[in-house]
Amino acid sequence: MSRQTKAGNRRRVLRRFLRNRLATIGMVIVAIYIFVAIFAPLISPMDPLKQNLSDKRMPPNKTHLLGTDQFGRDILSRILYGTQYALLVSSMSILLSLVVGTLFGLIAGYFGRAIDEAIMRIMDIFLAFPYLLLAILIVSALGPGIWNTILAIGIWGVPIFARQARGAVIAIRDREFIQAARAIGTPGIRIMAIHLFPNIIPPIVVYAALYMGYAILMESALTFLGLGIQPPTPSWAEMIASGRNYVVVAPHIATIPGLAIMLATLGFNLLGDGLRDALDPRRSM
Amino acid sequence: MTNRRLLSCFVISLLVLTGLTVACFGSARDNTLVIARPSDAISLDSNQETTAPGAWVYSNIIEPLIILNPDMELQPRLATSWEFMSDTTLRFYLRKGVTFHDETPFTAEAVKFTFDRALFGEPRANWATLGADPITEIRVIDDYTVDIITGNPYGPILSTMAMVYTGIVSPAAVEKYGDEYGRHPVGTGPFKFEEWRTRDQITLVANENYWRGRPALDKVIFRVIPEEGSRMLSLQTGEVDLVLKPSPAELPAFAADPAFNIEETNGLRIFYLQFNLSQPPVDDIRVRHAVAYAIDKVSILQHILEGAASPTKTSLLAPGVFGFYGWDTEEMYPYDKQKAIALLNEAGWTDEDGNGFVEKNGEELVLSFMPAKGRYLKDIEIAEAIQAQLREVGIRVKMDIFEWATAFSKSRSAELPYHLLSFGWVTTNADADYTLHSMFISELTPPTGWNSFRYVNTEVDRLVKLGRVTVDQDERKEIYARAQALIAADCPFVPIYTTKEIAVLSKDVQGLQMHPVEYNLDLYPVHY
Amino acid sequence: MFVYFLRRLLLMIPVILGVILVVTATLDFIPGDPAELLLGQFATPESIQTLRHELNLDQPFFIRYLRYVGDLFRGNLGQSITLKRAVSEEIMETLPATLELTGVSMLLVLVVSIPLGTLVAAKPNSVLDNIVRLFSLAGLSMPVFWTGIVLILLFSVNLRLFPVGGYGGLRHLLLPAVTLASASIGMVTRMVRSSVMEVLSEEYITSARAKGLKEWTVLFKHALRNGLIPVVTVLGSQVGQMMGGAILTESVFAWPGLGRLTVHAIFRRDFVLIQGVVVVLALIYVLVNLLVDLSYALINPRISYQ
Repeated sequence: MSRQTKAGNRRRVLRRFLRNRLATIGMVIVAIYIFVAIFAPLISPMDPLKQNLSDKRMPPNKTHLLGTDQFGRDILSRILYGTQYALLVSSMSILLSLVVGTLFGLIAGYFGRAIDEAIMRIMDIFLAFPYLLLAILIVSALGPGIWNTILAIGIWGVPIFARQARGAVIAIRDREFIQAARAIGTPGIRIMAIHLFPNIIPPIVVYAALYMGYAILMESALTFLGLGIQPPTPSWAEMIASGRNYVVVAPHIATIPGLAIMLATLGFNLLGDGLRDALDPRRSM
Repeated sequence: MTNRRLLSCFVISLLVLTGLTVACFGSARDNTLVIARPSDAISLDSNQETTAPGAWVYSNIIEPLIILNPDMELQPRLATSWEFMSDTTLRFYLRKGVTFHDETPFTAEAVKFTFDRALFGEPRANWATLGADPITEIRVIDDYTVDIITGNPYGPILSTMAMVYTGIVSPAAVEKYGDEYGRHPVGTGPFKFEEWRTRDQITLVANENYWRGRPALDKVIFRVIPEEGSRMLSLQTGEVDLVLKPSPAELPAFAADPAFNIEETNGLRIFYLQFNLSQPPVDDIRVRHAVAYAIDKVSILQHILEGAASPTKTSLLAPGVFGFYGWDTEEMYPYDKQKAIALLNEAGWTDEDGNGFVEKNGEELVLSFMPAKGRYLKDIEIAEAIQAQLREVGIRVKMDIFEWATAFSKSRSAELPYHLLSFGWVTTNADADYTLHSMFISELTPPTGWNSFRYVNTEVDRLVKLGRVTVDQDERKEIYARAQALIAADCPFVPIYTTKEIAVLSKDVQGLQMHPVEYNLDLYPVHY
Repeated sequence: MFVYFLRRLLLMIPVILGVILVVTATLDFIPGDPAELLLGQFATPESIQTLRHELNLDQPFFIRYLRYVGDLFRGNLGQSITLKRAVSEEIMETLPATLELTGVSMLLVLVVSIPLGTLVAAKPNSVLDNIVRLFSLAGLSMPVFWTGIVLILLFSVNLRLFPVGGYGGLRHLLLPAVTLASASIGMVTRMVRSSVMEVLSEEYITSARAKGLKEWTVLFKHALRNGLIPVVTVLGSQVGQMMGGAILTESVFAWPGLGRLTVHAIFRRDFVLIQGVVVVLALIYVLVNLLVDLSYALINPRISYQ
């Protein structure tokens, strides 16, 4: 493909994306969350760990814009800091899934036949675990903690990215420029790295954005079940889990963090959807 | 045209659904008491389960020979009278004409069977090491006379015999069910076991042939509702009639509501933060004292427990226990951040780099904390509060939260890599020996003993061992007072609260009296 | 057809064996001595030894794996450490409640998503379409346990219409079922919409319309029937989602099913129980996917010869 056509394509994709209102909203939401995660220490009004027992369970007011929790900690600050944890875990998990999954997918798609079968069977085994159960198994065995959670969610995502990558590779592996490279004896690794990989990036990136949403939800679920991070690190799902006890006297403690989760997931979903539509406008959803 | 059709189909199905829902409203109230509690029992065999979820249930199914009433006085139950034949032999005269729920007769043989099974069986009962160790033999004299024999004179023998765990079981039932007995308990109590839906509910029915007369209630259902908020809500909606372990945050509302009553009494359980003295730097008494001064116990009582528990004395025994001795914890170790920091500095821990945490020789003071979760009122909230309060004086606390049974087992293993733990302890037989002997004797460290503090004090050892074999109760009191004074000064633990046994019930439920020993939930006198 | 069925069945077996392999392998990753850790408060040296023997921890991995598979075929999933009962018994006791919950949820999903998705497929970019799109996206972004808590807040606490939880008839089942369904409705509606829309643009639809058939017939008899295929796939995968969602929903509503059992097992670190539950649920999921594959063949016989 000529340089100009590539640039032209990119401009077209960008235009399509920006014209899609929901996608733009998604992008803005994600940008806000990333901003908050990075600048939380600067924009947070209070120390999220500081307890003030006599100020417990205050509803939203002038000093505490979102109220306080059962320990008198400022909920707004905890939500802002919670962004760090949520984005860190989900992005690291997706990164793990992406790297490992794409690798498997590339190898399977390129070599085909027996290797393809073998790799895909293994992926099938991991796909046979219903949602959450593999993660529960892994974290129960290894113990709760940030790295084990990342590993568990990452492993869950590997077969999905592998499938995507493989599909993308299969779509282009019979194209002329690949055949040509093969013909002149280019080693497989070079072909995969230099020719295949850059061309399969678009669908992979789309999936990465989409699955960030799932990763956030999965991490919340694991934390809610008690398999997440230990106190006192602020975590949205942990706030919901502990706030449950006070749902009659102080419903804001359990309900507000859920909105944070929902908005984050929605943002990534809209972004991912928008990217997918922009890259392949025939898909009308 | 199609859209309208579709819409009407939608609306109709929605209406049908709503109609069905409304039709399922309302439930008839019969003479049944529905109780909500946080967790399910593991077993209804007192040998296997010594904690409340099971004990609440089986304390109405099996009966001991004697009991402690809510005023902590000994009362006859399956025994009509007793006398000491010698310093080491206690004779019980048993009640005649009592039958088990399976219609087999209650005799001295059943008593021997129950105790032999618990103390000398394979495996031994969990409660065998909790005050029943000194018992060496149960001797049947005749059908209604039985002797309990101890190796040495044992001061607390009577209170031990009053523990709910010693309830007499039907030998025939144990033969019949074998390993499954824990799911089919049979005793002589006012209620019979009917059904157990795991993690959902246990159903008991009235024992028509109960020797004191049939209870007023027809049926008792023990339900499992883990979240305290949900428990209170179920009470509010009438789904349950009685809540055990209510939510402190909602107590004021229920107290003010005329549709509900609150029954409470001072409990005997102390919830405490404990040190593992085998792990430096908490082996340094100054560090322990610093922690004690750093914890704002008054604030915890006021804002986390919100009146649902009482302040503590410096002892691990509650004031109602025989042999108790202690001062107000707030007197001995008041909340004093400055003093805590000063003590830390004295012990060599200072904040040189200004990051808010103290270090010594370049290493930060990090205490690893293993709090138990899900068993004691507000256990994990208190742990988080303590973590925050210690942070204020520069101590970093790393938490590893485990569910109570796991934490408990880890605390009982030979190796314990944590500095801090938190637990609740109740002196079940209300005698000082029970706690002091199990927990503070130097050589009785886990896994054989219960001294998870790894506390070593030879004078305390001597005193406590002496107190066990002394028969004169006044002498015993004095001995135990001296021991508790020593322990309080050494500070192997920081007491946080003393329980109140509280139940919230709908106003129609009458006759319930809470017992200081948590496990005794007497439903016999309860009626509508 | 039968050959297709047999082939799919045979392909299932290595997957199942693989799942069991992964499950038994994780036992090896437990830091520390699993037997000691797992035994709870009454760990004595003898009981630790017994458990090590029971879990075949003293055997090399492969033997342990084969033993587990063998036991599995005889219906033995081991003994729960914390409950002191057979894992299979616990699962059999709790599975019906979960099936009840997921069954009703799935029904709700079908009843709402299929008509709704079809409807908006016929009128893309209309007001209704945009509303449904927004709600679908919002719905699948909501953490299911939070949805449950919010519903409890609205309907149990404030309106007092429904009980807070526990097992029972329709009144007890409705909120948890709606909660569980909410996680899937968004996804399935979108799927139905896109799939039906794709079908609607096909030629035979235009010809059906040209023939003068009523819109209703066109939409439901032709478009939906053929559009159902990807939907059936999504439903199959939603079963997997629902199993995970059931764990969370049962926890929020104290519904005594397999999900609650799992939460208990996690809380108490009862790894034998966790293993058993994961294996059983994975097996069910694999079976469901097999059925999904087979139903393709039924819906569109042309597929079975690939």
